[in-house]
Amino acid sequence: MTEINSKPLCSSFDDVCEIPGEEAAITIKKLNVWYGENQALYNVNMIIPKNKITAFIGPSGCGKTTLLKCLNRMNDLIKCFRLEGEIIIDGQQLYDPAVDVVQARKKTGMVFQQPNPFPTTIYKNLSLPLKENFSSISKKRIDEIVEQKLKSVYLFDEVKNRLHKSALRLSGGQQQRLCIARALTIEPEIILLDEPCSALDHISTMKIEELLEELKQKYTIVIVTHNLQQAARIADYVAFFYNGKVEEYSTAQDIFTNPQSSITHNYINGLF
Amino acid sequence: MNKRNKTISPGRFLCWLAAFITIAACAGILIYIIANGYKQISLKFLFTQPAPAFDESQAGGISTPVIGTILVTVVGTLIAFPWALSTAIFLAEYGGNKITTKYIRLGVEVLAGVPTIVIAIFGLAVFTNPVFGFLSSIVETDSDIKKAFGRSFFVCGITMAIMVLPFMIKVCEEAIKCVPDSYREGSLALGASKWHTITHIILPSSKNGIATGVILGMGRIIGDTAIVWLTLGGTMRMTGIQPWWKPANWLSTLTHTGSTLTSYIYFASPAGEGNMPLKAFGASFVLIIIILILNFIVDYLSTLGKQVGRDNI
Repeated sequence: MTEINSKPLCSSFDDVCEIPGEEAAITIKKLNVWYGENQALYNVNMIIPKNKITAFIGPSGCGKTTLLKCLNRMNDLIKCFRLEGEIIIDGQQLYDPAVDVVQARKKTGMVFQQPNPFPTTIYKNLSLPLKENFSSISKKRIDEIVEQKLKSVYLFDEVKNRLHKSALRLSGGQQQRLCIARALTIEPEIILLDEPCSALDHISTMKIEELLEELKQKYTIVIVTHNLQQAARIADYVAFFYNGKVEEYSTAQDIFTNPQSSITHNYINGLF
Repeated sequence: MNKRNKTISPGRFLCWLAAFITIAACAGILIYIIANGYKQISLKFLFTQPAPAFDESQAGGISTPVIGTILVTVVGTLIAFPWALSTAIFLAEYGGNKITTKYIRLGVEVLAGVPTIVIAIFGLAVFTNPVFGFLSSIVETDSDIKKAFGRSFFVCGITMAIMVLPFMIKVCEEAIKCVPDSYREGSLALGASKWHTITHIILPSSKNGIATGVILGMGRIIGDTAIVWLTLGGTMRMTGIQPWWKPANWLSTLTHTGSTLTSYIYFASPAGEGNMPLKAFGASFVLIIIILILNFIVDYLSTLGKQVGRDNI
């Protein structure tokens, strides 16, 4: 973990600050989000560092999933959604009207709370996005990528004999790892995970956590979690959300051992 | 056992009675048709053309009405299915809550409520226009007025498609809406376009529901009489160039008139315009069997849908 000063990295109403020694994967500036009349996020400023795991924690309804979905423009599906401010990925404004949403989403793979494999075979779950994204890809290349991605989520050995059987027959943990593998097929730079372990048992959770530690070598990972131990175990940086504001954003170590805000202190000590 | 369980409340009895009468009516129809119709069933009955005669034993069979039913169903389904599916995709995926969508939905509801005889009259009115002469045949009148005959398998199939359209749209839309949003999100988050999501994720996931809609729609086409009566004409045999079954004459067969099982029953039964009650029962028997088979297929499809994690995908 990078040694940095104990001052909070960023919080609401501050300008975005640099994180010393880290390259920014995502820069969020003065982000305000509304659902109809309700404001869900207030003036969020944040840098999400490259090849690190950044965890969003906070009580329900505090805006962490909203922010996560903003990073993939999945909120566009909600009719009354409105956003002001900037999100910059790869030097490109994500919410620029000129941006092709479909292309922009390819930079960020998303894994949802409930495992959502498509109701088809394991193989097709991975080959469908490949065929959509690389139209002239050969069958042999698809086979290679499917095997490689399944291996990278440590699922290949468990499913190699039933690649052409339904993905819905896998266990919850296996389904979730398949969904991670599926997100990796489009070669994203960033992986967004929305409480990926909340529907899983302890052992599956451990496997996914180990996997995320592996994957951060190649990808930037943003994870929303309700599980504070999980955040403490795997995250490099942690943002604590409260009532739509980033109450505190710092290294995981600082958040859990030396929180600056009393609300953060209360939350991580279970006084909510 | 305590006393309460032994007495049956009047409410419960009435509900039971209503359910029993429903089953009894269904069974009654089936038994009556089967008892009267099964004796007629023979290869000769199924494979000879109708030949209305005073002596019922010389009156031929139902080969052309069976073929007619198939032709009308195929033409109707081929037109209605892509049309209904596209409309359903629009309503479920693209329409949203816009005013236009609401009016389209209203239109579908209204069309669903229009009696088939009215749709038949409309079809006849449209297709007797000489512009549509290629679908039936042009009638030369004494004066210079040209008119299309407006009765043919094509015309009947197209009119059937209009009749069955609202029903198919409803069922397809429901099937598409039943696909969980998590599939849509999963696909869109992978950078798939909306159209790719629809064609590769949503439609395959809802194919059982859609197939159910198509088959039930086919059942409606097979069972309809009013449209056949007005837009296919009052002939029992095929009236195109003979022999009607030769591939060279297929177009002629389709642009001319004939009969289906329902119109055959009407024209054969003394209750309609005929004098061949036994033939009518025989045809009813065949018709009921076809409808039963379709219903069994629908039943099978719905059990398939309930088996989570099936492998036949």
